[in-house]
Amino acid sequence: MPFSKAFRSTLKGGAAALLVTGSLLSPASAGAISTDQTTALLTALTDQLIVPGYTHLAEESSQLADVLDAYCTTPDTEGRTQVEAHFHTTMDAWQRVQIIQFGPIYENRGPARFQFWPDKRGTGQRQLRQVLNNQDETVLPSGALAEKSVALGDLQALEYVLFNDPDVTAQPDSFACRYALAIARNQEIQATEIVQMWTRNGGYREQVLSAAEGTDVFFDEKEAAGRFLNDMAGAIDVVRLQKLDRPMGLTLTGARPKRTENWRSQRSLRNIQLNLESVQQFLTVEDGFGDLLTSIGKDETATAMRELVSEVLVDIAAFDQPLSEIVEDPDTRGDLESLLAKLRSLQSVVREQLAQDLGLVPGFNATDGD
Amino acid sequence: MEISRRHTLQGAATAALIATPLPVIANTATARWMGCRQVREAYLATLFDSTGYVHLDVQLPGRGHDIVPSPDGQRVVIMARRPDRFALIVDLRSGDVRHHLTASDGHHFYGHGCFSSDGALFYTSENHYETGDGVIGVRDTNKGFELLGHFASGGIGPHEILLTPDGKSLAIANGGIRTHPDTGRSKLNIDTMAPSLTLVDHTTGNLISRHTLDAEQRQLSIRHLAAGPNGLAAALQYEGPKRNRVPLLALFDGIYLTLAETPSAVAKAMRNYAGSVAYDASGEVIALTCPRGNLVSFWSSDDGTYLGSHTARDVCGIAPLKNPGHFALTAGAISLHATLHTTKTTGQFADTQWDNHLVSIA
Repeated sequence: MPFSKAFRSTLKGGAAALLVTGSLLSPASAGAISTDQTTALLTALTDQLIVPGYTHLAEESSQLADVLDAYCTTPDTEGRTQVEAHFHTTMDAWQRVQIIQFGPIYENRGPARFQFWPDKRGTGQRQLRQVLNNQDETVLPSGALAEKSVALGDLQALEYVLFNDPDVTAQPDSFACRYALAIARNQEIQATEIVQMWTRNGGYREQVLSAAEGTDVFFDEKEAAGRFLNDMAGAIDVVRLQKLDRPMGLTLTGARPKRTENWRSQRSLRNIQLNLESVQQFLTVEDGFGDLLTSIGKDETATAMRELVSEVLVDIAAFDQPLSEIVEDPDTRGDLESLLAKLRSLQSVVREQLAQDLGLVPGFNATDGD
Repeated sequence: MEISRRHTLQGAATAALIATPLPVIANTATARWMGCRQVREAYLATLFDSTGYVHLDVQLPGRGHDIVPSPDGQRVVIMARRPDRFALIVDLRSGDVRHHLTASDGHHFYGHGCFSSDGALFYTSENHYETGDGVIGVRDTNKGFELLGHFASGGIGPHEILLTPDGKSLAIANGGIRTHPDTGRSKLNIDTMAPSLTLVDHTTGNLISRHTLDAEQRQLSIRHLAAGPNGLAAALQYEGPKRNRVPLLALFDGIYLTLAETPSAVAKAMRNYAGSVAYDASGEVIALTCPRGNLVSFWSSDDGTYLGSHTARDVCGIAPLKNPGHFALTAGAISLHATLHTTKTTGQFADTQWDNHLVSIA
């Protein structure tokens, strides 16, 4: 060895002698919350919100597919109403679980297989138009869309096919309608797979519920709880930055109505409302974040969060125009600014106060790889 | 700015009386350190002393990582955090940025570098990202840090590099994890990763030897190094199933790379991630920081025996003090001094998040 000689040191014993007794290993985190309390939180959120949420999405997309199947054969007005209603309930179900940013949703091409949005470069829409213009039959066979670009089999694609020009799906046995049906079936398949990945033996639900013992994906229960906390903060982030800020632009002239989410089906605000209702449920569900805060004497944080979420939801419900109009309306645009300010407050309560109360503040140096 | 700075230099002896931190490096008796930090939106490399006084803030174009003092102590190289591509060479007497380096086409820095013992060459760990090959960039410090060429690091994802105590070879921690700038910091090969410690001839780039942990420990990424009189210490991070509690300190005696025996409670407290490692002045004590576990732990360099630990929130940067057994640390917004038995806060820094590493400045 080229430098082993240099490593031969005469230093032995000496200074180490004064260092022999180690200090006791003190607990590494804020101690007020027991493992059982955190596990109760994880169980509540998983079993009352996540698993039912994905199950609901699978059921809704299945029903949408059935309704579309009938409509494609006999495209009448009543069928059309049914199709649109079921599109909306399916999208509702997706928006409720959109908040979840970890686990099986990140496998197999990630959340984009449910919704590829925002499509900043318009690539998804170009692919979609090509399929429609060429009546590309390769998208139709069962399972085919799971292998193609996510932008061809997601809920954005379905919205485009159904709402961009309703006439194209209104002819009996039209290509567009059969394509819409294929997308709905693809959504059913994808959602069912997510449910199975959560609920099967050894699945993700078990990983979360047994996090305290250490699992393949969670070091301990605190890490798992931190993921849920991140989901709340992350959902507010997405609403603020992608769903509001981006279409609003910096000034009135910078407003871009077509950057609002699902403007074709006029449900941008409804999506935001559902996202924030999920945040609210993380707080208010039995044994959820609210109860946990109360149990450690942090009622103030719980109350502040509940009040802010309620206020925000009331504000959203008070709008009586679609978001795509509001961003361009000098009279109502200001209300969005105040909504954004409230969302920022809510987000800082989650990221700072809640995280601190629960001892879940991530460290600056805790990132992988450095 | 330039004028006012030179003006204050006239009265260098009165530097201690100047209220606001200025780029004037006074000759003080107190020990000094340098580390990168984020202050609100700004990324800085900061020189401060044991009273918490800031002597110099260098504005960085992005988040910094390691800081490498030249052998003559006249200047430092501030390295970008991966996968960024900048490095700044700063004159410590004036505080001026002398050179601004950019990684060559197709490469990015991994955050660490080291000088040859005569200071003529500067080495950087880099990713040749299309192939994923780990490489070491060699630069001529007398020609504005002009790139002379690259040689292989002997593994994927070289991170910290340092000159071995005999000055003849480079020790390279090949973390084993492949990344690509297109996918940010995502890890692309966790299933096949093969970390190693390589020794490379610093003049020819020839591989001298490659050292690995046992096959079942191949998900322990070897990332940071420190050199002591008897060998090297390596700080590890674990990429395997999180149920496992694993040692995060490895010792290298020139022949064998061995994991330090780690009590299970300590392994749990470290949370599978070590950020920095340092020897004390005597070379007998190794300190290992674990920012996820908020823990600084102490080990015997002789046989890797665990000695004890302290908690400190977001602790990571560490450098030896002159007294044996004493270390300087950065944690969250504070600096502290620690021994096995005591910790003492020495500085509070407004709006600061100290980054991973800390170096002593002579």
